Amino acid sequence: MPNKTIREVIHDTVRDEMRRDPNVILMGEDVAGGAGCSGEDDAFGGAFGFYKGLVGEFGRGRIIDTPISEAAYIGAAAGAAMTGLRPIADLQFFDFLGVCFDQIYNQMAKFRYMFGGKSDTPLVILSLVGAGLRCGAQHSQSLHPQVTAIPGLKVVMPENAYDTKGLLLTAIRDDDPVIFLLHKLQFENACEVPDEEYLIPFGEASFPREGTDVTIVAFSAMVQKAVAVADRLREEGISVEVIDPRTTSPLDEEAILESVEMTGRIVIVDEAWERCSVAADIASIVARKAFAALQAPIITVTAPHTPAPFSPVLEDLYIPSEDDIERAVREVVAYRR
Amino acid sequence: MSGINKVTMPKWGMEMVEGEIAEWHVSEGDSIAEGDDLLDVETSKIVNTVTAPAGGVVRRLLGAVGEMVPVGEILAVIAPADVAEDEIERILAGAASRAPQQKVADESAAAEPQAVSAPDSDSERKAANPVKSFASSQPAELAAGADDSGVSATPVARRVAREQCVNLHQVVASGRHGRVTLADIEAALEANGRSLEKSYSAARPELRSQRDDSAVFATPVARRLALELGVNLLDCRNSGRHGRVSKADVEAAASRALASNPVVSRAEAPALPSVESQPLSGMRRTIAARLQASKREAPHFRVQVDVEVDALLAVREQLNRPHGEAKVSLNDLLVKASACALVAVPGVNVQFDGDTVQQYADADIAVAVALDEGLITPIVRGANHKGVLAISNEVRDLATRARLGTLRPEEFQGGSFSISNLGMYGVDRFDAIINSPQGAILAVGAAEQRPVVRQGELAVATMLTLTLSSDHRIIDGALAARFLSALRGFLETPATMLA
Repeated sequence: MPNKTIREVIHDTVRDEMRRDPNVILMGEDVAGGAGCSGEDDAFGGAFGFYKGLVGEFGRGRIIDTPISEAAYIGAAAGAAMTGLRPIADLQFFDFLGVCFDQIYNQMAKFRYMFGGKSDTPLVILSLVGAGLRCGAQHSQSLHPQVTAIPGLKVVMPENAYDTKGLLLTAIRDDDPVIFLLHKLQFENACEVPDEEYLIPFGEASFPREGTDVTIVAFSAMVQKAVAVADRLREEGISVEVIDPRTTSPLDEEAILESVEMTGRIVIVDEAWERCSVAADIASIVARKAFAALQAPIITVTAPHTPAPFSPVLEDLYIPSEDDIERAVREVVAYRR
Repeated sequence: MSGINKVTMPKWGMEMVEGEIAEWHVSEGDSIAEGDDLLDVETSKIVNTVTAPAGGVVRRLLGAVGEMVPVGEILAVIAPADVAEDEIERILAGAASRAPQQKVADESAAAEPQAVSAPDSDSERKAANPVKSFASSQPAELAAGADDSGVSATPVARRVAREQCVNLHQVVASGRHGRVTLADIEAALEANGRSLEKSYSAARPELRSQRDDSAVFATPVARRLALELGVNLLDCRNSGRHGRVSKADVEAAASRALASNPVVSRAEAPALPSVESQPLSGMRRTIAARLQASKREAPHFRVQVDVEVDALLAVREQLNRPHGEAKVSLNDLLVKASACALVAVPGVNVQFDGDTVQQYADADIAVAVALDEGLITPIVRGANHKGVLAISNEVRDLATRARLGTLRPEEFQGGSFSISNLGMYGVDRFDAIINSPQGAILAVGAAEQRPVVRQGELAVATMLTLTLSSDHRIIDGALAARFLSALRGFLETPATMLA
């Protein structure tokens, strides 16, 4: 089985789906040509080089460079989806959500419901979240809670290359708008990825580690850190279960509640700010639906309520660390009523 | 396996465990679209239509009209026309124990289900339908079944199933995308008379951080105090200014540690006491709840008398002499005497639920029987009408069956009066908690020789101390005393019981 990075998986999966289904198109800034490169083909392959080489195979009719107007091309993608195509819209940094948010929350998310179920909107918005790339406060946010809150949108946050492939295939073939969010620090991460196609259903969590003393629910880049903490604590005899829900909407409540019912303790780790976040949401779900099982207070480990700092030192403090997670786990394990 | 859809008996409501096939709307070989009506199912409450989850060709219909099918069992298989027969057979064989059994009926009864080949024709298959049975509806076989690694289940459900020896084929799946969930496993275990203990690992103070805390920000006072108290700064909150650990934080951590393990000293690692925690059994729970309620609700008072029982022992001797095997015990005579006393003083022969007093005509006397896991109080009904021998035999029979756990509920529920006897353990006197809603309970100590004074002379007699605990809401002191006096009369002059 070949080792592939997330970047390679996105490239290969988009390519394979475009070969399989002529209705799949790709649109975004610099996905075909490149800014400052006098319009020549394939200079960039998108801001992060995911799509390099695709314009040569599929041409500018299906790999579409757009003006720097997220409102325009995300809206165009929504319209194209409604009229029969299956667009993949590359939104570079998800921080630009604000520019095109009307197209997302008030248009594409509503079509199916407002047109009497007669309208499909098979659209994938692929974008990057997270801090750590020294990009400053405007390019380092984790805004998945903002879209998770909207009914009519599906929100996917894969953590590794294997899940990225299975979830991206499901996303492209899904008949509803899917927001597909990768972490900026992760797309060079590699693991074994089968060549054959496989679909991972939305709303089913994976369990990278199984354990009996405490449950960690972690998203995106935080999963890797939670796993590292679980492995570290296992040597001390603390058995940690790590759950990666993989999609924040739909959320695999069932898997989380079941795990908490067996462990009685939960730590939720997410890079988004804590107020009105997915972490707070899960804490609320657990408190409401598994209260009797809880043996310790729920702890969330998130970024502090502040814009991401530009100073590398401060930015590293801003991002939840393995030590933060470990401290939280120790606190719930040692807790006595 | 792609494209093959199994249609299973749906679960329409909490109580539905099976449904009757009322009518088929399709036949094998029909081409259908998603959403088409497949069949009508009748439950104990409604008739409803099951529709096709996907389009394709109806490849199998399992079950005849009028047949009861358990929830989750396969009713039909829908697949594209180009899916091979044996692929469908394989799914049926893997999905449930129902299909293979049906095939066994087709062929020789001794054949292994997995080894049997597919039936040759539809007619054969249909002919076999009426005789099939449902292994999964028989709860004793949770562990049985083929390799279940292919069954969709949540990770927790799979882990618990492995620990509990449950084959996932035996569990009705209700989760997202047809996954087996933890709740499904619990339901299956419950249907099998088992339950799932969720044992949270105890909080473990020995895992509190032993790591170097020199880099933790703390006020100088807090750091000094932490050193004195043996508190690791990593175990403290940091509520001080600029996130420092404050003196209050260290004190709080120290008191937390003290509360959770009072004998911890800094020098030695805490030795965990060898305590095993066990959940209460059902019987213990009932005893705990009922006696707690009695002690809380009923204002108890006790009245005590010493009774001379030499005459009674002589009667017992006379009774036992001709009946070699039927040994009348002192306790049997106490049951008889209490029955007589209850008739003589009916104010004690009552039940009281907090509102109304139930006056009993007969003496239904509960006798406490100790069991390994608790106690139970089987009842001698109408003891006032029964002879001592009959009472003796009945008490022995009830006690034996109480220890075997084969008493019927009506044999230990009710009664107006209880007797608890600890005399055989050498206890000379004690008092008991009323078995509510009864009005009183008699605690019986050991019969022993004691010095007594008769007409100014010291003598020796066999004495017994009786303690009556009464519910003062309905029984007053004088009434209790009258009852004990009557009881003592019957015991000291046994012939009066014949009157």
